[in-house]
Amino acid sequence: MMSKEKPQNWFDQRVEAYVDGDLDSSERALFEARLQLDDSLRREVDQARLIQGALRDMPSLQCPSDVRKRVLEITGSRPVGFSWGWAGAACAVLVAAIAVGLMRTPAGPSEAELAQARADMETALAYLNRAGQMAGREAGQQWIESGIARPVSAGLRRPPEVEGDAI
Amino acid sequence: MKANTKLTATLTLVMTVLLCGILATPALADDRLKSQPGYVDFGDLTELGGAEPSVEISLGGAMLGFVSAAARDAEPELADALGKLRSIRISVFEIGPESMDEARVRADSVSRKLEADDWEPAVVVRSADTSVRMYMKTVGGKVAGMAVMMIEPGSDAVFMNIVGEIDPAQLGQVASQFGVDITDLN
Repeated sequence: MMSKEKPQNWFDQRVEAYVDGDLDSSERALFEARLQLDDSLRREVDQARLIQGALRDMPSLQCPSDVRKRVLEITGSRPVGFSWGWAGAACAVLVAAIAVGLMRTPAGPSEAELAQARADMETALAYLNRAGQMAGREAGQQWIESGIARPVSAGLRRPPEVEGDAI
Repeated sequence: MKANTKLTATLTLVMTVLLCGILATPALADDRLKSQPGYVDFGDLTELGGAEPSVEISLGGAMLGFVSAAARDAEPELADALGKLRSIRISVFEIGPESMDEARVRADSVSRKLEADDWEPAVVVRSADTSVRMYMKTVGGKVAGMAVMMIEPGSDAVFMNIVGEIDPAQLGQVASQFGVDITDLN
């Protein structure tokens, strides 16, 4: 029987397992109970999910079939045994694999890139807000009752001077 | 001589693998985005009425993740809203009377395609001089994508697609905080 009282590091060590869905039911229940109370743990989980999502979005590479075929042709036509040439080739392929792996690693953007992305995001959301304002202006509040129509109507209740600028 | 041949073949092979990796990476990312249920194909948005987009933005999931992480402490609501998004794409065209029809035809065509694909029209406003359409794609009870098309004569035509898990209330709340004067962008 698992104790209900667990030290902080017990939870910290299980953040990734929780996000990956690897905890068993009793551990998951304990973890989720703690999540309700612990803002810091919740932030860690959010961060882990974010990283998991970013990694999931990274493309996986597959070796084209003609390249594989060529490799098999080359390797299949030589006797098996130690060869400095093939040792060198193996090293070269290893270096290439590491290079490709490094290219796929999500290196963080520079501050300028991040600032540009933030500005782009704000511009895009400003257009979304404007669409909501225009819909409300043209159709009236009867459209703005539920679902997506409700949040975009938030723009209609912005301070007058901001609304005037945006429309 | 034999060793030189082997070395040449090896280097060629290594360079081929590297080149394939470099060339394939963006294409695979693009394919992955297009396979998302919330992705919208607006067709060719490189021009409308002979004009290029005045605003063109495409943010992928990884970059949105970084923006979200940067906002985590100061703007937790924004970080949450962005954290589950896979992409934000927007193309804006300045339109005059001569390109109104083309913009409307394009929006009508996309609307028909979306409705055929079970996208739900959340807001559709067609007045004499303005058109605003917002569609949402729901999968398993969650919003997986949003498409916005807005045409304002004498101003611009906007085509926007947000892909990913969207909390409409949260996104609307966040969007309303950005008081960017869009008229300046045009």
